[in-house]
Amino acid sequence: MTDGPHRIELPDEDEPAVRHPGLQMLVDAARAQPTPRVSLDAETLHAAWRAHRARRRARIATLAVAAAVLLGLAALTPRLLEPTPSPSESSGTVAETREPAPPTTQPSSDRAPETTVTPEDAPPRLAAGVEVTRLPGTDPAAAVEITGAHALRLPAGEWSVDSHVSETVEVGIPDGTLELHGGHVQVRVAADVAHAEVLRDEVIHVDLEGRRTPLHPGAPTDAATPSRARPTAEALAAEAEAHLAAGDRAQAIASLRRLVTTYPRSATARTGLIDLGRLLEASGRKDEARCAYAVFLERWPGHALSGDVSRASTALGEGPACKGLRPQR
Amino acid sequence: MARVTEAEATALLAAAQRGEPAAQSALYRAHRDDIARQVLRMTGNASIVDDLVQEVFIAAFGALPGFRRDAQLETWLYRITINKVRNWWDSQRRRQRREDQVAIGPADPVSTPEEEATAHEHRRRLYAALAELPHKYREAFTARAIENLSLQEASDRLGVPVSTVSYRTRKAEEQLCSLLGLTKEAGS
Repeated sequence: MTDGPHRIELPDEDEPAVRHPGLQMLVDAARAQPTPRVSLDAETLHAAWRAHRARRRARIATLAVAAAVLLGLAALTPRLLEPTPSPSESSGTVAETREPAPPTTQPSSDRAPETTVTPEDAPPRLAAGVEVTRLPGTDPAAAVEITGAHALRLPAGEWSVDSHVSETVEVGIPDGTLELHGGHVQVRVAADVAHAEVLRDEVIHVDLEGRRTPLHPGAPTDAATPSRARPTAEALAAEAEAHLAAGDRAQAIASLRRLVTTYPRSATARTGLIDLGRLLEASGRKDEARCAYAVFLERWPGHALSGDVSRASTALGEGPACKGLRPQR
Repeated sequence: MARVTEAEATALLAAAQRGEPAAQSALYRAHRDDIARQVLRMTGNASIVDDLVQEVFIAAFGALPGFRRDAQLETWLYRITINKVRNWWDSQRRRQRREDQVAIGPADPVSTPEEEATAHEHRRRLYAALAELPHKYREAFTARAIENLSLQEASDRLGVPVSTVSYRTRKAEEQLCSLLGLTKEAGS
């Protein structure tokens, strides 16, 4: 769905995959590379699969036990959950205050889960100088997933991530990754979106397509990390694709409309607009299709596909003037 | 693996979906070479084939109970492979940024005959450039150009329309030529 413009003209079934002879030479070398014999046997694979399953179950069990302990502590000592600044320690911290963050800190000895954690299975710890703090209002059971000394993933809630290390710290959020280069950021994570507010130094948002957007203190960040109230452009495009796959063209059109109006200047909206025009055209809604094409041409007049779009629009013939996506009746 | 009838394949898949180890092993043996070849074509790196094949099948075993058979098993596995390879490319990019490398290519052989050295250099350049492409363009180009799939086959595997495959492949070629310094004149 995100690469819709090309759908205006059907390609030749016999078109070559590579046209440039120089590139073809490199491709030929890649094609000729012999496939190595897979040394992994089925038994080893099964052992790895069982270990993977066991680790996953152990993690779930650990999380459940830790959450239960945390809830018990929260009920008994509510003051423990009030935020206080945490001092630097010999390793990075994941805490609200002194709370035992479930998967990332040592379980208390008398409440240790029954699951045995071997050294190689032990969860990684954050490097010293990296502090993650749960902000007030966040579910106390929400657990940060530490994936390395400089890598973590935030669950739903509001978090502060403060890095004083020179290494890049990667913070996983639903719509990509935040890279901290000694920066400090507060992140609000909802189900599938996040909103980041940079407090110190530059932070880079890397979206799911790998696009990098620097964020600065005080700068609005909704363009890079949309507010939690609305899905990302990619999510809307995927939603439209799903509706289309399910044969629900009307819903696909609705999702695309939302995409191109909510994120009017995004690359996803650019292709989404042409998809929208194409779907409207296929639905017999020619005036609306013409408006969608017109909006595309107005927003991206010099785009490589503007010629195709213009031809598609012309093929629809004359019609009423448009106000945005809507024809004026 | 000996050729099996459709009914046998269906029974094997059903058993694998129930988590029967023997059936899962048979499934693995039937598809591992295809997956290995796909991983190699997608990454150009022979040294990570075993690891990614393992990751693909561990993910597949975990997801098999939910496999609804509305797609071909091969297509389903191909898409799992694409996701694992995407993760690998992402980790390569992160590592590259951290290490500030100029380029990351397949593992270097110590010494090779001249012809193989040339082919190796071609592959290294191609995959270093592919690393710079967006996932979708790289996947379309790999499927069409390196795996030599037809437009329709690539469309089925990637789960996007034929025209999308065509468009992405062309865009990939444009970007590759630019990255590799291949001029239009040389290509015309």
